[in-house]
Amino acid sequence: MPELKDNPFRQRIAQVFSEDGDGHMTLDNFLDMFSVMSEMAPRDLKAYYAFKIYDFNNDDYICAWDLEQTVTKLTRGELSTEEVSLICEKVLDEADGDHDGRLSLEDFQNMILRAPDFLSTFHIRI
Amino acid sequence: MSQSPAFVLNVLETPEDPEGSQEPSPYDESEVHDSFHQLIQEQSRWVAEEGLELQQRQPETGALGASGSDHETMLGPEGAPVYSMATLRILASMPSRTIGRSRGAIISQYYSRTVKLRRRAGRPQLRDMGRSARPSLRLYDLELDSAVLEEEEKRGLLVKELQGLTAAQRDHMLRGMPLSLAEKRGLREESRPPRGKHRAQWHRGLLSCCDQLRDSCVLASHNLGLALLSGLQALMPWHYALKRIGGRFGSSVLSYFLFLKTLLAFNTLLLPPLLAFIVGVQAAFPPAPTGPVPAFTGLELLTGGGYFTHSVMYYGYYSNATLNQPCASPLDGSQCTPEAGSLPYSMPLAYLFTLGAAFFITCITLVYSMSRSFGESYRVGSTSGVHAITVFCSWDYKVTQRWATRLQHDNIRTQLKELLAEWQSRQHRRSACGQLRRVAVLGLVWLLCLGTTLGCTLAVYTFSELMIKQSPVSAEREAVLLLLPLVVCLLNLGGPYLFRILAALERHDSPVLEVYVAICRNLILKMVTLGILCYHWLGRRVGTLKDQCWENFVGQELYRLMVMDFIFTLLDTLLGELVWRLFSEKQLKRKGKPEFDIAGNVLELIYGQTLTWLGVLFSPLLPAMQIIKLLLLFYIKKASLMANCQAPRRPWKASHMSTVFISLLCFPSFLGAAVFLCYAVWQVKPSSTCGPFRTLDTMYEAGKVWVRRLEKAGPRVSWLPWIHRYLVEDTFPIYLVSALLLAVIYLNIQVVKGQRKVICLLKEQISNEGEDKIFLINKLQRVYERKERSRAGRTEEAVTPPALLTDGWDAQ
Repeated sequence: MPELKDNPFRQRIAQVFSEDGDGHMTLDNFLDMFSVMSEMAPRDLKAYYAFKIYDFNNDDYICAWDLEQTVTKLTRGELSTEEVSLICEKVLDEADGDHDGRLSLEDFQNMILRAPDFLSTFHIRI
Repeated sequence: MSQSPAFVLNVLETPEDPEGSQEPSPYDESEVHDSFHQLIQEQSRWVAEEGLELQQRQPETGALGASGSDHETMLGPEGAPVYSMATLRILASMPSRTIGRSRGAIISQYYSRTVKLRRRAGRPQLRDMGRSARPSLRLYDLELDSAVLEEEEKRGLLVKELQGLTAAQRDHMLRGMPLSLAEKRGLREESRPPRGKHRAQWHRGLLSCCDQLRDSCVLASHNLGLALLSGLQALMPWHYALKRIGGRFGSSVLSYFLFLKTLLAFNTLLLPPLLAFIVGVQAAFPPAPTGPVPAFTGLELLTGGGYFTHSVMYYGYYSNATLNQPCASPLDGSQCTPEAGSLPYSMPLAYLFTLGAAFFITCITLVYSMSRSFGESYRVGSTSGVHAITVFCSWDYKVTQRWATRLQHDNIRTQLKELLAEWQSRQHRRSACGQLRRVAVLGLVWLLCLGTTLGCTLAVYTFSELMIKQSPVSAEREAVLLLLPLVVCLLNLGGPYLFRILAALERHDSPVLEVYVAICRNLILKMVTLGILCYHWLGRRVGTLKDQCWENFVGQELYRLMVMDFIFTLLDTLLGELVWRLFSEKQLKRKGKPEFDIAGNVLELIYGQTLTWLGVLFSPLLPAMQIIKLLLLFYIKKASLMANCQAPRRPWKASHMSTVFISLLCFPSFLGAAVFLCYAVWQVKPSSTCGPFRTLDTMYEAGKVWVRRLEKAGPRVSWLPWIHRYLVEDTFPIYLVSALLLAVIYLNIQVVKGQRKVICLLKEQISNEGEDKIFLINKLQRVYERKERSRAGRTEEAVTPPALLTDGWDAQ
């Protein structure tokens, strides 16, 4: 699929939208994915699936390890380890509302509300 | 240990209100807290007595929704080995864990949302109130009654509720559900309104036909809108160029180019009314030529005089009469017969009103874009979430090509580094002595900069007085007229460089502050220079150019300034960027390219736009020139940037830059131009030999004369003179409008303050809830540990006769 060829999160996207969670997608899963990533999907739906994509260990929370994975994938590993951990710390400081050291779905959705350009970036054009 | 234990809570029932919408508020927490305490004590006692089984109680008023999922078989988090298996199982079945997991939970959640939607108007039933001690979970009313429903039953309930909604609400609800498409399709099929009885079928059929028609119309218009949007996206100019610039140099340099695009939009907004109502009409009805037209030499492109003087470019060309009169030539005494299809067009009125309307539209657009920019960048509490937003929302999934994704990686890495650098620079603290030294240096540098500005102002003033002594300038020495713009542009070019050298002495903590200070100083220099020039034109030139067309002269001066400004910008780009790069590479053998000076370039743009706005009264085609200039500037600056410059060495955040630029455009620039034009229209006597207002005392009189004529015309149009007399000429309405505006601003400020307070309170509440949760989990863990220990103890005492134990229990 050319749209996702160079996307750093392509494996996670495949895992999240596939039925058995191992990346093999049926046609229905495909349609689900494009439906969620289309322009008309509402913000909460996109936030829900974005949360699942960034939750690398599938434990329904974005913990510090998930964040480190996300930042590393975003920067292609070109930031040093201290910088990565510093960024993860600041993200948790900012977004973690109940101070349990990880982001829940509500924290994530609350943060997305403050980002005006989320709807335009979490969007694949077919 | 066979069933998943359900924690239930006896919440003391609060008396029902007539609305029935009261739920236990967070402020009833003392009751809730006590009941929790009671519950934990009870449970731990039971566990100690009876072993493992926690019975499922009959809930009286509700359930703490911990049994959200029936078919939950997931284990708890692996990363918490200190918890026992039972604790883990309870944790795994917490509602916040099951939201993302089971379809049953999702279906229940949307069922409750649908119910709320349907019954919003009426009184919500008590049955639907999930009384929970954790108000934050109220959204997720997973269990509406005590019986644990099968998934199929839940699905049936959801379908029934969906049937009760309107089509639009149903579609909206379905679209937001995080289920797979196949399931959504199934739900939609099932929740379509069922076929009615045979008698009402015709009625139903008609209604469904209308519904279908309406739905298909809405769908068609929606598709059309989407197609237009995507078409517009493709048409947006320089989309790819801007993306490249943003990817290589970061958002700070990109903000300059975006600002250029905004200016282009403003000029494109200003030009069509002028073209249609002033220039076009006058070009169609050219006035009689007043004298011999000079031949075209190349110098006109620079000076704006000569061949261009008597053309639509300048004010003097426009006639002061009514064009296209129905009476072509009145015969002696007889009535004029109106020619067919002729429409009289009063040029003075058109000139005045078109300019007024164009400026008014520009003002409204400017204020609107400024407020929208503020609204987007200064969301309440938005400054606090920058890191999280950058990490989660900055990856653009639309990007498909390899090199483009590489650009994005670079961009995001630069942004994250910028954020870290700013945060680290804030950590660095200084001693008191260092602070004092810093303040002294700052004061000195400011003094020097203001002194330089004063020097430049004096120089411009002296030179302008010199030019007045030189006039009148004959046609052969028109090049002398270029001297004043030359001097002004030289000073405008040299001043910022001097300021940059002086600014190297002071060291600011944040690079953003450095940029703001540089912008401030440059702005003061440019605005003071322009102010002196305006005084020179309206104060002195009007006096010395009596009986000549001073408006033409002012228009030409502004044209010359614009052309000179463009030439000097080119020179600056060439020398400052290209030559400097070659020099530093060849001679100094340095690797680093020069940095792109964002502040200086933005101020150049604002200065050019101010010149356009100042001159539009005297030269209606000036916006067209500005458009051409901006287009050329974009490509030249982009080429120079790609070839010669590098991204700013000290990375800084550019999130609020566009707001700052638009505010600078609005306040000193547009406001100054508006004040200048108002003064010219209201106070200065127009020249008597040229232009549309040659017989009047002020330009505004044209409007007044027209209103007087309307008054005489009769009672039918009396409302317009009335408006003019009581709303425009009277000052009271202006005070009223200003007072209203101030009141609205004050209210908005108070609302924002209140919202901030509420956000703080809610954040505290969430953090308290988190602590509660941890407290409960630890208590639970201790309960189970004690149970384990007691079980281990009991197996050791297995040989002891049970009678002894029973005695022990009875005793308690």
